[in-house]
Amino acid sequence: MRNHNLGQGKAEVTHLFCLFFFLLPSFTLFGQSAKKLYQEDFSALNLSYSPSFGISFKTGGPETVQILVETEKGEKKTVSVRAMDQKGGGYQSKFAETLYPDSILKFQGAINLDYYIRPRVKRYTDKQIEEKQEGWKKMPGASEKFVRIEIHPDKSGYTWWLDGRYAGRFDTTNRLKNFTITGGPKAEVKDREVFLTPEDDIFLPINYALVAQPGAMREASISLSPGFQKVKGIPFIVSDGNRSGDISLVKEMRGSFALECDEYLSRTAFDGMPESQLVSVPQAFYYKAWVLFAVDPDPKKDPILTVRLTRLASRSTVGRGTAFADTYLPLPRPGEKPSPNIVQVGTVKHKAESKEIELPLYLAEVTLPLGEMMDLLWQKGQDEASELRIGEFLDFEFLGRRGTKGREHKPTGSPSAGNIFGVTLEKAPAEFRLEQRQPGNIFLNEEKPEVQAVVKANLPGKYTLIWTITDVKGKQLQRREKTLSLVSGQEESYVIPLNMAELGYYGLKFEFLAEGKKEILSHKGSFALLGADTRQAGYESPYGSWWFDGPHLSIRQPEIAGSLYLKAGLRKFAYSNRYTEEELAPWKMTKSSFPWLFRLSDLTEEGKLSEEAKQRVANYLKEQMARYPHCNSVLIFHESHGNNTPLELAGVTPTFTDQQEKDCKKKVLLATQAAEFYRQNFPQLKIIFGNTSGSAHIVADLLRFGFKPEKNIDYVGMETPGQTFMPELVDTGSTMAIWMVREIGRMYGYQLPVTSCYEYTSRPSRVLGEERQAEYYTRDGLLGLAHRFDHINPGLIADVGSSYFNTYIYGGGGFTERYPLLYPKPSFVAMATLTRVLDKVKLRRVVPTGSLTVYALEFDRQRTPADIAYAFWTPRGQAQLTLNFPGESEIIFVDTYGQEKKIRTSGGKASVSTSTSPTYVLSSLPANQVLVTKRTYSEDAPPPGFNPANRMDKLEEWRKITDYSFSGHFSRRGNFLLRQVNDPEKGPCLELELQKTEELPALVAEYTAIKLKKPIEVPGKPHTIGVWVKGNSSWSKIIFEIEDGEGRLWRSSGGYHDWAGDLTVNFDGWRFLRFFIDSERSPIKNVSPGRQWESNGGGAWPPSYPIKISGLYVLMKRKAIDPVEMREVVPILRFKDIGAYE
Amino acid sequence: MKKLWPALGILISLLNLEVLGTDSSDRILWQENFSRFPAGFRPGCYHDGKGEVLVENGKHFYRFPGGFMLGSGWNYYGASHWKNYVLRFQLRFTSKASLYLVVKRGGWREKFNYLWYYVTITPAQVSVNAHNLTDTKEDLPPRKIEPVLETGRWYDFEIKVTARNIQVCVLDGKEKRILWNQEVLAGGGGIDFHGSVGFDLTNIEVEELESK
Repeated sequence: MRNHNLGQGKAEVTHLFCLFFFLLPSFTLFGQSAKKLYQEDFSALNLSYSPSFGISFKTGGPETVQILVETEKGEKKTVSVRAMDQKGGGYQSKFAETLYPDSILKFQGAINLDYYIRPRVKRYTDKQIEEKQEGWKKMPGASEKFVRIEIHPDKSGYTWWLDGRYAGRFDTTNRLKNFTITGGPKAEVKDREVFLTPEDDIFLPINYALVAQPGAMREASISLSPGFQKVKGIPFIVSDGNRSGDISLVKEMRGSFALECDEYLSRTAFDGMPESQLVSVPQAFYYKAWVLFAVDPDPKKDPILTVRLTRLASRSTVGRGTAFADTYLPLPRPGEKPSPNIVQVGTVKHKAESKEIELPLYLAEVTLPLGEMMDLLWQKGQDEASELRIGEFLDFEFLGRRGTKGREHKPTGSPSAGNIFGVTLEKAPAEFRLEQRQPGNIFLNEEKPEVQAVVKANLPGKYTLIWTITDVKGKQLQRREKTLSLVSGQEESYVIPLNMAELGYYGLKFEFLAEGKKEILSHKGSFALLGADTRQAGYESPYGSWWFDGPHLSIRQPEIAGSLYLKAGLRKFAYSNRYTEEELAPWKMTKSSFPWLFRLSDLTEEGKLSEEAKQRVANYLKEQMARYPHCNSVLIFHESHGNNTPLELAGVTPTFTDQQEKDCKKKVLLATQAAEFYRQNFPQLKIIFGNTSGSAHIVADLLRFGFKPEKNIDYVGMETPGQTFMPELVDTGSTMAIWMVREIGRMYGYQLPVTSCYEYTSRPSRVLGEERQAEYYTRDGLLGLAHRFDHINPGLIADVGSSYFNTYIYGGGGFTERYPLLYPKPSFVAMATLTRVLDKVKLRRVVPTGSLTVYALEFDRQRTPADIAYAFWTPRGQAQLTLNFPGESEIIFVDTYGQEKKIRTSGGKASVSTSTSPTYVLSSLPANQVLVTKRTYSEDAPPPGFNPANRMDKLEEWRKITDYSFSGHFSRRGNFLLRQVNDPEKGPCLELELQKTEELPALVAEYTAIKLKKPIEVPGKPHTIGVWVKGNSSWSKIIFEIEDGEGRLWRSSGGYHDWAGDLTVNFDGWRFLRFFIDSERSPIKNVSPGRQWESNGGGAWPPSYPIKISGLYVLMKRKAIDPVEMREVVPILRFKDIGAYE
Repeated sequence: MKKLWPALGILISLLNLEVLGTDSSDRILWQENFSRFPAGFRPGCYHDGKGEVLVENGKHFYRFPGGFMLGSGWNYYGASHWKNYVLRFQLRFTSKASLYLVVKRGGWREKFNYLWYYVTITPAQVSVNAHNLTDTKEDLPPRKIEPVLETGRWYDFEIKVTARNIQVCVLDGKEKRILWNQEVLAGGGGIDFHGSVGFDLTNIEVEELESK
């Protein structure tokens, strides 16, 4: 029995319990033979208040238990409960079809959910199942377990609770009359209880004992009495030791799989997993959690606790990827002073190593960052992402330390020292929501830029809303506030104007405060002012993006997705098939391409397409072409081959196994047959071939085995994901795999046109940051235009809300935040600018600027009236350019985010700037010349007081070693000269020159090492290493070598290496080339997957300090991209002042 | 000059180049004399920190703790590509012990498979074996070292490994004595020091025989 301290009420209801609790005879109810187990007549209790009611029951067998609740006005609610088996069910699990008997209680009717009494098998890996399933069999079956069902009254009716977990509600204005429960012959009930409801308008005490997994403190006793009580004025249901929650037992079990799914982030509170202590609660603005806890003194345990509020997404196993109000509660170790939000409220007697010790029992006030999950709080009704059909609810749980790099919402496995004795959620005194006037606060044409804030008081008081507007760099532009005096229950709206003097992207931060400047929550959003839509391009526009249309918790409504597409100037989409071009006409959208429709099994033994396959494809295409009449291309192959860099590009003839050769020849046959089929039957469709990541591999392999592109295809399709690769870096995973495809074509005698597949680059802002994401997407688009792409489909229109967000690929590459927030990222505005400025363009030429790392493209804008457009950018740093025109004119300069200024030429010259963030010029006339006049890299300079470990000004302190460390197909030992020279800017320094001995393919680097004869120790714990390099725009690579405090050597040359090009010489002149040692502390972040430093034998990273700097490897290139063709460079680099700093 | 882009700037500065010295020697592929480690240090890169660096009369050396010295880090030095090189090192037996020196490992092979060739050096004998050799047999007779190596005395060893030959020499004063010299199967590359406890090593150097 629950020991609720309810005073008079308790005596009253206990007395009543004795009167009414007796076994009732069997009778027929709901069409089956059943016995009445218990009936509560609430009116007979004659209470002055509406009580809560609870009773425990078990089905006792396969027969259904029926629950009937009736109100005084005759409203009826029924619940049926049946014990069932479960199938393993896990994706690609060998236990998928295994039957686990008597595992689930299926609730139907007023409660609608599956309650896993034995753990839900699909939430475990096969290995875990093998280890645990014998133990599961020993657990009570679903029919044997007593389940506690409760009904609690609230303002609008009643809430259902199962074993302390919220299970839905029914709304009524009437009081309960009866609660009747019936069941089969072995069904039983016990522990009937009528009690005062523990929750009130503000506090929700959670009966944590029903969720907790006791562990280390199972035997502990606490100085507070278990049961309902107030602690420091906060109502709690306090647990004793054997019903307390040991958070070290909380673990992930099966997590991410198949790239796009995640069992951990798909859990429910009813999964029956001992490794989760997750409880569902009614949806409300819980802004605080009050936690009663003790800290396990075991030194192996981690003194950290995560307190979490969210709503996990269980329906399709894609999981919830974002929208977590996660906060850390640092736990005070014995003897440590607790933080100010923690007070001692009692003691816990705990046995550790056979000794009884007394530990403090703490009460913590934990603020939940609700601003991270506002969209879940604003959502009304049943969440379609949840399989629990219980209406509005949230999930609350504890876990330990969380991970990084996409695991921000996953436990690391480090066991938490937290042990929970009770938790109560507190509702905010007032609620806050935003009502968008336009999806995502993105304003075009005459749309009035504003957003409506709505404040609703739960308690009377004065509430202040502060909003701050920033530019893309985070610089504050405006700060305003509004205070509202509200009575309890009052709701008031306030319209916030978002007019700004300039077009562009703006950050928008809200702080919502109660009286006394007490923060209730803060929330970060953004808005975009796009100005007039001057685009003239229609369906022929190359610009498009991906739209999931529902899956992955994405936008389903065409009017919302359409609004975003129209405003970004994107005309093409994949992958939705629900809406026709006609239905999407208001937003000028059509499909980018029809998909790859054949498969290898469509080939007959004679090597022809089967008639059945041809009919299938013809039928599909006819239907699709009717739906999307402006879609004029079709794919041949899609993700159909490997994606290694073809060895031909290293000048090496590859070898094949018989199986590989057979596979390639079959693909040649299929591609040829498919192309002939399309040419014959659908000649209006252009054929996009390849579409397999960087596509160079499939192109190389199929050309080698006889595929003839000249008559069979119109383009090679790039499906390169880009991810965190710098766009201009020539790599099979990067945008500039384009060059590889074209070079492979040339090797086999073909000039291959290239375009983008409907899946193209995806740049995760989670890893890159929002500004760099915008820059990379813009440059992806510009590289496409530089190569005359007819399709440019980067990114996806909005981030997914699912676990796919946390990968390095598509999920987090949105131009806006997740639905329904849809706040624009800078990339949205950057794409909108690109599509507006480069509307209806055709490349005139790649303009030489005098630098191979300052790019300029010149376009004809085939608009009415026609004019000329330029795009400029650098992969690194800033550049000043002078444009020489044949006469005086006025040009328009446009930055990445659409801000414009007019520039009058002087002497036919105009000076403009550019950087990694592209800029544009619109002109009525073409320029004769574009020249770089200045390069700067101010953001890379070492900090003031930087003390180099070695000045690199004395040759005798260094030696050149050309070992075999990097010997391979794409990097060969080079012949270098190392000398000491006097540089006009830097004085004495070292210079390294590559001596040309033979012709090598452009992608092959030649390397050597320059090493200090005596490695030099760097004091302290430096997080960043760097060296001044006089660059040659060669895309050569610098690898640092250091020695750690344990004598290990490490090189900055790890796997999945340096996708961001931080070690690359993609600049001219002197620049301080930096790389992280400790990426957590360094300003240079590791945006490549995997560890970037590798040792010569074991060891952990970051290194043990102190470190010594021992030298550099230089992988020199002879040619660099311009960004369409490879050009010769001068293979000389200079070095000065190597060092490391913190 | 302002309008010239930096690469051109480098070219022009080269025309007025003031070269203060050059270094073109790069035949040394690996060097280790342990002088970068203080006495008593246990370098993590060798034997995962089990061995100790000691110093006597200013000479730094490594007290071999047994097992593979380079372990998983052996290829850090690009050693899988070494196939034509001279390995020099100083060896001192402190008790009866054996050095098993891998001199060909992995890398390129021809007709026959083997895991590695190793040179075994004891105070009294040098022998060479192909480990896990399949499909053929080799006659690789051991050679005695006469006089036997003294315990507590440093010896300079030089092992020359080419595509089809292994030669083991010891320097006796200024005289180089060939202890073992024979043709072996083609292939291989790379080194690692393995052995029992009872010897010290220092001044390890690998020099490529052909200039790059």
